[in-house]
Amino acid sequence: MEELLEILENLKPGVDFPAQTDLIEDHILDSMSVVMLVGELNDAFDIEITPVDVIPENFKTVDAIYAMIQRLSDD
Amino acid sequence: MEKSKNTLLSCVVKSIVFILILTLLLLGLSYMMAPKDNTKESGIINPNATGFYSEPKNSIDVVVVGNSDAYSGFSPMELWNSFGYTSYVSAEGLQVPAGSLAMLKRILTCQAPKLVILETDGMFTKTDVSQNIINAFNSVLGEPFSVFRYHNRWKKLKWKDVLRKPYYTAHCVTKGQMLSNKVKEYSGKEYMIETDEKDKIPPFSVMTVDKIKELCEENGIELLLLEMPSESSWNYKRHNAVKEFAKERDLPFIDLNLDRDRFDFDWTTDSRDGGNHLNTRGARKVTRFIGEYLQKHYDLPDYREDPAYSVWHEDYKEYLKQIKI
Amino acid sequence: MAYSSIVYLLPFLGAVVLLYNGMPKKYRWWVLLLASYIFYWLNSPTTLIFLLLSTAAVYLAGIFLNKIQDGFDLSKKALDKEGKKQLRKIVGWQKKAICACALLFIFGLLAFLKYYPFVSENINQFLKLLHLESTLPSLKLLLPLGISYYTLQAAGYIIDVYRGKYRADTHLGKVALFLSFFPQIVEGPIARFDQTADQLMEGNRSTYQNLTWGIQLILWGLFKKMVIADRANPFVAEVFKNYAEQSGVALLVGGVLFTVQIYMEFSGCMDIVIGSAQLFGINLPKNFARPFFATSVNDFWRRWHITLGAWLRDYVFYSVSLSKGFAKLSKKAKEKLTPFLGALIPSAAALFCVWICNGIWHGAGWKYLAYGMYYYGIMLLGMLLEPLFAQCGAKLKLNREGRAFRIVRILRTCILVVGGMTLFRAETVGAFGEIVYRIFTNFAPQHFYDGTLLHLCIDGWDFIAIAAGCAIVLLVSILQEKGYSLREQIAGQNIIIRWSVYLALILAIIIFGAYGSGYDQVAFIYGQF
Repeated sequence: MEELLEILENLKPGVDFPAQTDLIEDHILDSMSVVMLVGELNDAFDIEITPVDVIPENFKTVDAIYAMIQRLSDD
Repeated sequence: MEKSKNTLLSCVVKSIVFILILTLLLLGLSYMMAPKDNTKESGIINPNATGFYSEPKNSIDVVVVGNSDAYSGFSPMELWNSFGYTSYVSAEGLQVPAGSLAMLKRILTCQAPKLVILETDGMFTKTDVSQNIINAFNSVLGEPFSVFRYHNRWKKLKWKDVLRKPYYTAHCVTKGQMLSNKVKEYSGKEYMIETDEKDKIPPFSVMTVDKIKELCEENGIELLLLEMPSESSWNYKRHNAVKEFAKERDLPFIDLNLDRDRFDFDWTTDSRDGGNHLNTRGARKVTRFIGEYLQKHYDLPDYREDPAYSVWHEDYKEYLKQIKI
Repeated sequence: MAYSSIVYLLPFLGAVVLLYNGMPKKYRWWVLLLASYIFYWLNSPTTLIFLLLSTAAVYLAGIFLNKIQDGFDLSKKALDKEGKKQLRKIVGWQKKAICACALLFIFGLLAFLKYYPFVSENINQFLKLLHLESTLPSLKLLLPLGISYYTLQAAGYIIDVYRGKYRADTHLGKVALFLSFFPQIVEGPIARFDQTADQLMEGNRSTYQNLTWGIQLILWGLFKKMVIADRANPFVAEVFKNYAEQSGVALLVGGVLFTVQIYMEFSGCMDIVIGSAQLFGINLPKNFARPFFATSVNDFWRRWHITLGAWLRDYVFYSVSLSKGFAKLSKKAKEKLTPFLGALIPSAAALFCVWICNGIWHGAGWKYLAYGMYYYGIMLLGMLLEPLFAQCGAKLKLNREGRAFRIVRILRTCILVVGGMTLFRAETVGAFGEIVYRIFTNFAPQHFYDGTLLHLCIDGWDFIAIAAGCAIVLLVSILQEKGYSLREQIAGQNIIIRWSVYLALILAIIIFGAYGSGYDQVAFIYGQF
């Protein structure tokens, strides 16, 4: 979780990520930053996020992102 | 609460009431927006064709409906001068039978013709289903719901015109004929080559001409089918189609594309646009021939000696001034 | 049979609604499928075969993908970890091959039918330059109705199945109806299988509310199309046809009016489409979200033709940018260049693919490529300059989140969009260049007030009607942007107010609509892709 927050903070400095309820609808994460984020996450957690995983539900909140990472590392 | 009220019955009732109100509003708007005269300035569509409104009541004995072939080729003034018959051409560009039917209904509001001549070329105009629906609507309810035709007049609406009754003042000297003194010869091949093949008349046209026939019968009017000479719009297949159509209904049909020597017709001098429409010279020849036919087959009164029709003599003089060929 | 034509709205839609509700629930989807094929056949009888071919292709490919997946699931239990990995690799290749074949087939049809004339002509031109005899024959091809829309739907379906988002459907009728549903077939919206397919098959009765809301939406669409778009059309057509004789003012007004026209027309058509579907209780995805309130070009494309943008994002942008090759590229860029560029380059490259696709999707021609590149260029510039903007903003102590700045950004976006639309409407890229040149060199501001504009096919009254229509649409949009649902607001009023609003809308269409003598019916611009 710490690591994830750090990556997010690097990507979009100054956003209070844990407090956000919908990162996609509020345009904090657009498709551009999602791609950058996916690249970082793939490297950091040694997972493979595929286009199927790139749906709003998986990127809505920090918790959702974290849950996705957990799920993919179990695979 | 609100939901339980929405039973099927109340929905149906509500819909009907809504449509009723809409209908009433459209009727009112139609009255307000309709042109209140038949002059060009009044905004009426095709003022030439609607001049019959301002002719004395029941003074027109012969009415011609159809498309541009009819208003180019039929000359009421020639018919008047040679035979003393009163006639009016209520033809419009691209008029299809449904338009002829609508026009005929308008004519019957103020005239009692003894004979209707339908120019048959319009029967072959291709229309799609949407146009057919619109045309059918216009031929049945076009007058009371004229707002669909005259809605664009919102730009020119004058307050004083909105609520008054129509008062028709136009005076059309040519009685609906469009005069053209241009000459453009048609020098191509003969286009009426005899064949047994038959063109198909669109079913909607057949249906509508039958309605015209019915309307004529109800009002004791004779119906005559006529085809003006036209190289570009006519051929033998169409001739066969209309001939059969007329035979089945026991209607007379004259095709002026056949035996054109009968009336001394000449494609090098009598067309204004190289074979599609006639000019004034062509119209004169054609109309005299039609007049002879009418004299032979119908019992139409000659009003030339009737002082009530003296205006027609004046109009003829005016007409002659405009004839240059 | 255009969606705004009488024959569609009255006999066709009316008959389908009656038949649909007259059928037992189980068979209602048959009515929709039959109506869809009849609609297609009435519009474009000879090209129905291409729709059927694409339907069969993705249906079969889906079934194969299911089979392979099932086989894998069955045999993987017996294998150890290494064996599983091996098998997964093989299965992965098999699935990829099938998906690729299906995509190749449906996009092959699209490419051949839509782009062959353009490509062959350019190749021939090129060969001529090399003094070679031209070799490619020029074919006259009939473009199947809606092929650009249903092909994307079909591709999205098969890619989703390939990616494992959902299993392929074994019901041929369902796939066929999903691809051919008559309200959508001509102009979209481009739906996903999981958005509409189940609804289409459900066969729910048309409720009173669905009927009234559907009709309201259709009327609203007709208002936009007939009162505003069709009225602006003669001016736009004249200005863009004889652009070389127009002053800068006329061209500028032409560009703005075309932007108005295409928005009113496309979004109006979507209202008719979505309203039509609503008559059957089917909710289609929305295609517009008040695009002229967008604060950036990015934002604009999230609000304009939403389903196309989303399709390109999910199936082009993510496919490209999340592929392994790109991951490597990204890593290299990060190591060798600055982190900023490292992050930028992969996105920029993926975006390039998106905008090439967007451009050529709109049509076969250099102009459309240029159109795609226009927006790509703007977005790229925005991305490159963003750090600079941020710095300037900080130095000048601008409040970049404030209201005033927001309005400036909205205006800036509108100007850029009008530029894009002008390119879109211009006959060629050269014509667009000439138009821009004339706007800057031959502006003639006096034409704003000396009446010149009133002699370009439409008069002052028409301008007033257009302006009034736009004002009404703007008012509605502002309310929607603020979160009011106008329909619900109106539905909550008493019957007199409610009916007055509806009657006013209907009468406005009848009186102020540009139809009848003097107006030809204008074909929908977006129906020609």
